[in-house]
Amino acid sequence: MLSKKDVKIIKVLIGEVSLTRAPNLLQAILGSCVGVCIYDEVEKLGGLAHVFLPSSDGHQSEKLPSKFANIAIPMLRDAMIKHGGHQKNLKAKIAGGANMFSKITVKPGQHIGVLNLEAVKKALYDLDIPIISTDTGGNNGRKVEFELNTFNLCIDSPVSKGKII
Amino acid sequence: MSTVLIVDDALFMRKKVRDALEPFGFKIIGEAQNGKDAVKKFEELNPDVITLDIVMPEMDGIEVLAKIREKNKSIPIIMITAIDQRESMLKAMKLGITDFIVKPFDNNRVVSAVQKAVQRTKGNI
Repeated sequence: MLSKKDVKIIKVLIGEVSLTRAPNLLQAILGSCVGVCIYDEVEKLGGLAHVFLPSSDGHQSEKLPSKFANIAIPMLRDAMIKHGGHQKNLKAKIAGGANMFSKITVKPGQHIGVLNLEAVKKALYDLDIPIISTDTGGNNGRKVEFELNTFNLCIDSPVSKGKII
Repeated sequence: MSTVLIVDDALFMRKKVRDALEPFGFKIIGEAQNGKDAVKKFEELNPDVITLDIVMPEMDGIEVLAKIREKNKSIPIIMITAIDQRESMLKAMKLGITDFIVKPFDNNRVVSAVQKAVQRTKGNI
């Protein structure tokens, strides 16, 4: 039986991409950012990309390119494959994309959370990675923990405490 | 001209389905980006066919399917699904779907599924 000491908790900060194996746990705090978990159940391998912005267009000299959906998701997929994951096994779960600043919108109904979600879904579709479940939108931040033992994505927010997707 | 309601939370996916169907003479009567909006637009617009994504926030495609089937047993509903949503697909089949399309899909598959659904409905009249 695993003790708490056996489980390493990896905090994934804004713009970071992290990869680990069971029984470890990946953790992120999300507002309008989107947490993208990609995993391979067979290889017991998974990663989390903490996406901050939708696209790197116009940000070519960016120091942390993995904060953009269009870079972070292929980067995470490539890392999965490099560490033994198989394209045919890859699946995704996503959370976040809240509207944290309701007065800041690009166009009506289009805040940064929505734009991040759209970019994430497009990037996953282009890489042929199915989205299995989501907990997205709303006006509240989320703390998410991705458990590599079970591939459960556990979500705590003011409106969904202890939700598992 | 047959009318279609497209339900998907992703704008690029709604556009992909629209771009596939419009050249073949289907009229996109509406788009819905979440489950609640889908049920509302189904009631308001009375489309001939609905394309319905499964994974959506708040009310997913299965709940939408159940709500629409409570009101209308015969309208053709085509689910758009990822290959690994087997459990959801089983639920969808029990509730009554006309066809399903697996992502990623090509345009011909969408056109063929909607054409067949329309023909089947006309055959039943």
